[in-house]
Amino acid sequence: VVPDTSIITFFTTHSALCAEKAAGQASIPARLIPTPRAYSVDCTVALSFPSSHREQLLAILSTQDIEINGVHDLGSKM
Amino acid sequence: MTRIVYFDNAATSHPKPEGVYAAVDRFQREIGASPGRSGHRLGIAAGHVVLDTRDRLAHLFNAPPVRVIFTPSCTEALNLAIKGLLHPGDHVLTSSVEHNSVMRPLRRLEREAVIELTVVPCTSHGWLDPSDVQRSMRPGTRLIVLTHASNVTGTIQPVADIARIGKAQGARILVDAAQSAGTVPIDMPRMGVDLLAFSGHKGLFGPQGTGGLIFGSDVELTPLVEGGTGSRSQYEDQPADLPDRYESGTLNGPGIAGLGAGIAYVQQLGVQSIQERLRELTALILRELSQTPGVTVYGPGDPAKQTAVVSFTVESMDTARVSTILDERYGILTRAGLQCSPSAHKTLDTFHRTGGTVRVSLSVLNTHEEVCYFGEALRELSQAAEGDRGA
Repeated sequence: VVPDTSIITFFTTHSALCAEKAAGQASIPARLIPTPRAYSVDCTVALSFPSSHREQLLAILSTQDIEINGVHDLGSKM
Repeated sequence: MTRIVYFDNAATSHPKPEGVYAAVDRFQREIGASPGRSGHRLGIAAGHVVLDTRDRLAHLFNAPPVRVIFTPSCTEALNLAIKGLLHPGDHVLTSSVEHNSVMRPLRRLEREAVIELTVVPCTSHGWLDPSDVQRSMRPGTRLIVLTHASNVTGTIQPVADIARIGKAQGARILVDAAQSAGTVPIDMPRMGVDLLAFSGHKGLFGPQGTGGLIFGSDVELTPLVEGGTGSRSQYEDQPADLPDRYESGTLNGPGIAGLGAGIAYVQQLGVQSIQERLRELTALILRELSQTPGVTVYGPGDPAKQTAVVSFTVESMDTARVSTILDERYGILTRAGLQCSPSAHKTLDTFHRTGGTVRVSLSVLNTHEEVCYFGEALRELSQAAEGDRGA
């Protein structure tokens, strides 16, 4: 069974890299992927992660002042 | 092979810590891609290298990482700060010992009647007295530009005191940390510094082509360079997001990788320890110079009041000739002349009178033995010159 996946999009690569680093420090299995065109063209990369970590990850990014563009649930499409 | 003693670290530090060579090599060989552009694994790896160096710089100077802007040099960082901040009618204060990287952009804006400029004279040791700054402030003074440490005499300026004076009257403080980053502790908020320009290839041990500008969240700058940022690519206007707003064009990945390793070395030793070690070497250099007949030293002559940069002249000898003999006969590499700081030499009275100075500048990788070797070489050279004078 493929777990549901969500992505976070950003305005800058700097934010995306910071988010990936923060996720890694919290042992959330997140990785940067080329941003699917349907969701944003603002930044080249988006952070992909299991949807089950959505609230935890958003809380971490908020605490660390990492600006995001949007959050999208992709289901098991990825 | 001729022995090389490299005493030109105020221009570029050399050699570098081993980790710097390894980091540049690794970036070139194993990563190589553009940071912040493509979404593939190597592009992301390059991005993380840049982020790591940015984080280190932020930690070193106590600033948020997102406000660390990479530039190809400290000179470009100073240009971005000066040209990006100032508006027509602004009054600017600077010191009389500034490098041309500060003086030339300011003089141009003055010549074009964009700004009014006051150059506050320093003492004969190259020190800027805060009370002289206080007296030169005007209601419209928008910016004080000040070197943290002189590239000619190593004189450390009372930045925090001057920042207090400037801030009390609404002026911004831009500090040129080319000579102090990595060798003198810098805490931007504690010192009251609004904008800090640094070079990567001197005390931070990075490769040439690295530098940057850090500035506070209440500072708004017009970008100096516009172009591709890998973000908001659908728009033809420059994005407002940091750091992208000021980082158009592909960053110097290998250079920034090496800079990260250089800062890691500095952080491992600790800036305070580096400063103490350099003070020991400076004390030794000053002692060697004081024991050499015919030598005049410029600047504070006090290791506690300067960086490991010492300027001197040898009586009746051209500075370029001293530097050439030290190089050709002894393998000791120094820098002669005006060191891109004509105003500083006018302050020291070495502009016309001696045609500049011979400058020795040390890094933490230099040794006591090298300084003693330099002292012996200089005494030989000075004795020969004395013989010539007597003949």
